[in-house]
Amino acid sequence: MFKRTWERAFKYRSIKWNMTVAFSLLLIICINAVAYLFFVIYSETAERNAKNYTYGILEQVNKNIEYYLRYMEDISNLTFFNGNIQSYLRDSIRESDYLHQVRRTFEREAIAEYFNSFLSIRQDIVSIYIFAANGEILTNRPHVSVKDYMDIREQLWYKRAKEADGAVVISPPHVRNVFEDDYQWVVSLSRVIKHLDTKESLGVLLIDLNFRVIEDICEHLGIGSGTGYVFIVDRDGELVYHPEQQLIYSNLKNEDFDLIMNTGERFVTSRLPGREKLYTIAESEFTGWKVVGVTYTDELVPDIRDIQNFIIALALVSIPLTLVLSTLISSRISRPLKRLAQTMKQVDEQQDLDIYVNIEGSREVAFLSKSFNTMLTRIRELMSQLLMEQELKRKSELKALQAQINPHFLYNTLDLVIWMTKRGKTEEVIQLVSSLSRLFRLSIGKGDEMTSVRDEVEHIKHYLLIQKLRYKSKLEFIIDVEHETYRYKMPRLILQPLVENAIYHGIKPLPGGGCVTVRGYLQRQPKRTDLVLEVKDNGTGIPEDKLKDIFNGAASKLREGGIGVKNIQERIRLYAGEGYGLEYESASGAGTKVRVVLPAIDTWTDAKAKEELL
Amino acid sequence: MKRWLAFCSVMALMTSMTAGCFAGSTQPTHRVALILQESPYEFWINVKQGADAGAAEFGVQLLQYANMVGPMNAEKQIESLRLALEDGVDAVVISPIDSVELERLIKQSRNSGTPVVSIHSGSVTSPFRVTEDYEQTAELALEALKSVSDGGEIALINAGSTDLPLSARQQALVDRFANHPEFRIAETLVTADDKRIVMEQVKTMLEQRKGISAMIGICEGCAIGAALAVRDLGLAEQTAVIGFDSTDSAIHMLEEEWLDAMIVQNSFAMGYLGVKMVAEILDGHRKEKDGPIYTQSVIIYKESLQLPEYQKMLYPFMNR
Repeated sequence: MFKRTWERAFKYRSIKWNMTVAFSLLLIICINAVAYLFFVIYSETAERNAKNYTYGILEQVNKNIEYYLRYMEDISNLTFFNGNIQSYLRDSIRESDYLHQVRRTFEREAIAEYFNSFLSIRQDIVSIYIFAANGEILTNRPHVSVKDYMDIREQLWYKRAKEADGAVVISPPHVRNVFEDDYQWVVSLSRVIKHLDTKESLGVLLIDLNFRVIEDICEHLGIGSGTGYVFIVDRDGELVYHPEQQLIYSNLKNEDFDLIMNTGERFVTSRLPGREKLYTIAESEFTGWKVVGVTYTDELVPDIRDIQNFIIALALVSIPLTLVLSTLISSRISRPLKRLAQTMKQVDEQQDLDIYVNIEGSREVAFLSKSFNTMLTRIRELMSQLLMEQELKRKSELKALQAQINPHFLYNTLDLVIWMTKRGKTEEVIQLVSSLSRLFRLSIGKGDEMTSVRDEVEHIKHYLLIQKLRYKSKLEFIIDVEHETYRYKMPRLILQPLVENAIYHGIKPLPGGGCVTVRGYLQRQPKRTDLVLEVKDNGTGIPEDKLKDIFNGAASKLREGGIGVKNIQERIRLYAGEGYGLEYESASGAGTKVRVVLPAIDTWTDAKAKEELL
Repeated sequence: MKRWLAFCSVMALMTSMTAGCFAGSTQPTHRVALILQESPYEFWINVKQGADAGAAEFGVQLLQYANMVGPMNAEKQIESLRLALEDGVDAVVISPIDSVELERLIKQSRNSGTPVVSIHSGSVTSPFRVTEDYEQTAELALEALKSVSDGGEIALINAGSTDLPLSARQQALVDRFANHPEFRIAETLVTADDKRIVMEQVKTMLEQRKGISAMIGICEGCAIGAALAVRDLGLAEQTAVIGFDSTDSAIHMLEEEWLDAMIVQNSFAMGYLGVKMVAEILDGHRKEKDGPIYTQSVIIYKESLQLPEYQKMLYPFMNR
């Protein structure tokens, strides 16, 4: 199957086609393979760099958040170690002591001012509270009251602060709803304030922070082509910050929190349906928070689409480009071969051997061209040699014919002359010798192989006259040759052997003799005009079995020692080609008619022949 | 020569194709009219915030054609819609008030190829709707009643008939409580959307009908008015009050236990999903046959207020 397809595609195609296809395939495969490898290596490198870049940013985010929370821790430390606050919290309430009450009021106001000093320079601090062990609340907010059904000790930030025993704890975002008419989302920093000497718990400090600074730290980081974002989860998986926090809270969007909390990897791909996300996770030891960078994987390498498009475009351009280049190159390489092939075709179709090719090209092609020229020269020489040999053969055959006529015919004719002279038939002898003389004259001609119909007819007339004198009443002859045929050419000594056969094999065996008729006329056909000469006798005819083999060597020798019909046929064919020659019509006892069909070649085109004819 | 011409043509074609590959695409921005109701109310503020969040995400430019401060009546909505259509907006997101003219305009808008998404509406004029699942909220109201009341006669308190969602809610409640073995709607008080007026009218009703064991305030003002009436009459132990929708006032009433439960829907999601739906329609990703989007509601009791999942719904983070 493959072999057949391969053969159909290449084996019977031109060398130009094969070279074009081979070059094109090779180039396209090479270009695309290189482009693909480049794309793979580039995208892998760019992806690795993008991941590392994102992770670097997240580490910086973590550091900024740590710095921010340490700053808040410092504020809590200032509060923790503040002498006035320590003193106020240590001091027990003496409700009966009015002056003590007034002093505590002033101290409370001073602490509120102290808290306000932080709030005035920090827009991100919403409020600062100290929930004293005795139930008192120290805060910057005047007239604040806890909802009567709310138990501060049940609040998460309070419980965690207690558990941490003096260390700072950061609670996840929650609604601060312990106070009347106050529902604000905050992140809380809380810690137990201890007696500096006894380490006894004096109360719990609460600093509520809004999201301003965290938002500023996490926004506009420019990860993932600008569409990426950063969010933060605490160690319990609670969302601390997300740019679309309300969408998450409303279950309108989701993140793969389970994956983020359970993986130990820096980079993980979200398992959630929809657009694929890459999570880059950086964890802070100080806060326990995980800062998660979200990058859409299709935007991980920002210009990957451009690179991909470029490679596709390159592939698209490379196809026609390589086709054109391959065609040009293969055309250039195959052009000399094509010219050589065309020349060979010309030789084959037009039989034109007089061609010389001068093809310049590569060494092999030049060698082929030279060899072809040498071969053509050699063929021309051989052809010429062959023609010469054939010419010589024809001439020798003609000479042989002439040489064959002479002895027999001359012997009989001279016998007749002797016989007539003895009888005193002077006039007849004169006529006989004149005809004989003219006969030989016309037989020899000027050594040419060709003669005119006029001379051939005259030649046969003299021959028949001589035979008539010999056979007297036993031989009659009629010569009926149209005058217009006289000027046409024909091979010499065609009619004489045929008439001789008619006399010796047709008429002579008949006791009462017979008649030989020689006709000549032009036979016009749509495509050609033939010269037809007929030799007809009413003699014994030729038996069918002999007639069938008349052109074979042995059978054609109708007269022992004479010129064979085959010989005449070959001479005509040699001269005129296939389609011309002798046609026999005969039947035993019904006489014989031989038609000599020749091409009508006008001798008038030959001035000399014309002159002779006229 | 011809060969080179062909070569040049191919190269020009390839160059243009290559240029096409690198041509950048611009993010389309859809111009969408947003017509809501009574913007000072927290419910509609949350809806608006949800719509803004959706607009930022889906590349939608939200346009408003009327002063949103103060109550929005049908005339104001009609004027807004007319102005929006004249301005050639790509689509409309509307929470329609019950009005024949408004319905006609919405149909006209749809017929002229401007899709209309109705949100928080009982209207079915537009096939594109983001709406409360009224059957679900009626079921939740029954569940809340069962947990705070032993059964008996109940009263529905509604604030007029021009508000399509309220009418739809009322109808769903009537359907749900019909033939109910424990609860029977004995009274339907249609009053004004003003908690003081509601309070007075509910007081009158409670004095006339002593057997009312529970009331369902179909709107936020109705619920607060009913709760205030119960407080003033000292009937908090005998008469339960269930409310719909949440505001800080309603939460306060719940904390004070004058309100026994609230059926709360995510108003932020309502606005967000309305804009998401309109973006999907304009991008050809949503067809009429896809049907409406239903937002889900939850019951909130006093105890629920401390739970993070309920806090996330009651106090929109956007308001931080």
